[in-house]
Amino acid sequence: MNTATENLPLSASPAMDSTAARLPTTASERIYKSYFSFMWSGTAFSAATMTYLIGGALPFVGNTVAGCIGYLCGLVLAMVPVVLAGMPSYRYGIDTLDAVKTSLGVRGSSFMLIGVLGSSLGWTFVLAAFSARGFGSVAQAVGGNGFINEHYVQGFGVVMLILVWALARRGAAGMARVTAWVAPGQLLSAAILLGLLVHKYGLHTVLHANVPAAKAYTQDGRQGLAYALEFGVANVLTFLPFIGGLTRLVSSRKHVMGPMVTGAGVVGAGFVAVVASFAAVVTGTADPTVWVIEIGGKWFGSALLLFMLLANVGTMVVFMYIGTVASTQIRIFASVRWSWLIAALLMPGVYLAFRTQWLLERVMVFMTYNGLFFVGVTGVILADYFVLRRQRIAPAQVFSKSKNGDYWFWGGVNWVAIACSILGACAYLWMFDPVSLKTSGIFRFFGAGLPACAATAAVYALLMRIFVVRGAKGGYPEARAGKKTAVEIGL
Amino acid sequence: MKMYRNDRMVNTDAREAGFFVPADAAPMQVELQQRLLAVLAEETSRTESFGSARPVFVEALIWMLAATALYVVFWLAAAHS
Repeated sequence: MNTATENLPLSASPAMDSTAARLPTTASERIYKSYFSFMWSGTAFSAATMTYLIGGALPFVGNTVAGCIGYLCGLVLAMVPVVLAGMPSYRYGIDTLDAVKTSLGVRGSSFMLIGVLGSSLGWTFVLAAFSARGFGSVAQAVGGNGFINEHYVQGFGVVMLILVWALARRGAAGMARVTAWVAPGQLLSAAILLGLLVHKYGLHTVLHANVPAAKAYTQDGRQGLAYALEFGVANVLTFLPFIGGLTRLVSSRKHVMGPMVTGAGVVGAGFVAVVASFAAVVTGTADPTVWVIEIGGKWFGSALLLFMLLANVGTMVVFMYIGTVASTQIRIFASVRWSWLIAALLMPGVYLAFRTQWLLERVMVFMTYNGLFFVGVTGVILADYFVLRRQRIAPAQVFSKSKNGDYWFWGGVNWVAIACSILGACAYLWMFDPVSLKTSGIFRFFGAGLPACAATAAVYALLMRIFVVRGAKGGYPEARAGKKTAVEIGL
Repeated sequence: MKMYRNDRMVNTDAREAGFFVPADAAPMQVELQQRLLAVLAEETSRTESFGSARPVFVEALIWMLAATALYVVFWLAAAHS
């Protein structure tokens, strides 16, 4: 192996400047060479404690088993298009933010950058805060105090962030190593909890327990199933900014779709959420920091919860690696050493570690709406790459800021793509408000995320075919043939 | 330590492919140019890894059909209960 694999982007040379992280990966440098290596990364990515919280909400759709089924279907149905959206990154070895320049424009990708940084840093800080508060619960349970010691919470939050920095500075190879250790442990924890649950309450009780009808979101079984489907879809659509950063490290097409759908979808987000939903409904609380100790007992439950909280580091490392690579699109960050750049991006987290309760109350709503943008963008990326470009892009052109470049569009922005992405988000909100859970339109049939994504893709393909594809902009296959000048490229 | 080159051969190949880096470009930019040429060469060679995406589509279709069928069965069951 040479260059990138030995250096920063894929391995560990924290002293190197961060521009190397964006270099296209060649076939020999890709670190995911087997089905399971990629699957474990997907699992670690999605099996964080947040998944236990989502699982805790599933019984409230009215029927716990139907909620689990609907959620699993949503995970798979959304994971497939999201992984397909990562195909340009897989094929050309480029990061998501470089790949989306082909559809959003070389400057239009800034819209995506905001989303990527918001998601990666936001979820890292939320997970750190959640882990820290969980540690407070463990300390409370073991110590027998009647209150959560805030000093423990703050200290654990800072320790988590330091751990994330120490592991993320080792680059992609470090990320792969951490997730290969953490992911099986996360699954084992969930399996142990399921076993304890069945042992303590009995299989029949676990499978037939439902929340009281008055507490359910709806009394309509179809609407409840659609809610569960939407929870799965919405969860997976937030993976979009990260998927290209992972698929560019996969060595064979055989290992792109299956490991991610299985690892991040069915096993990581799915199985863990199913366990959490059963636990939540039989114990009467959706908070895993409470029910894990209740099911596992004071000592074993606390030890298990402590491991689960520490395992969040694996997810946070994936978030930080991809977020840091994305941040190198900003010129001022690109020249900073990799390890320092990660430290700089984690700095707000240190402040927030002292305000964890506030973070969890306020930021969660922001994070919910932040994911909305990806509904439309997913449709735009799929239509642009598979329908309009027929799976061929010019990888060098994404590194050019020249007005003569293929992806310059109008002032560097493909306004049709931006407008369609915003329309997609609006269509989603019209069908489903993720905070108030109000629904309308065709939601009860197939949720909101999938119809909004499909509609965005169709409208985008139509508008582009009518107004752009045959013109000189965008570098599409049907574009008017003209004399092409070589363009200057750079990171 | 890897040596970075900005030699005439690489520059010619890049220009023919429609891009270039300036003669005084930083080593990382030259590395980018070399990698892009390598990526294009891999794509042209259409190796097993980077060839047709058809197997990915087939796998995608199987997953989608299975999940849709499961969802429709439960949706219909809910409608009749």
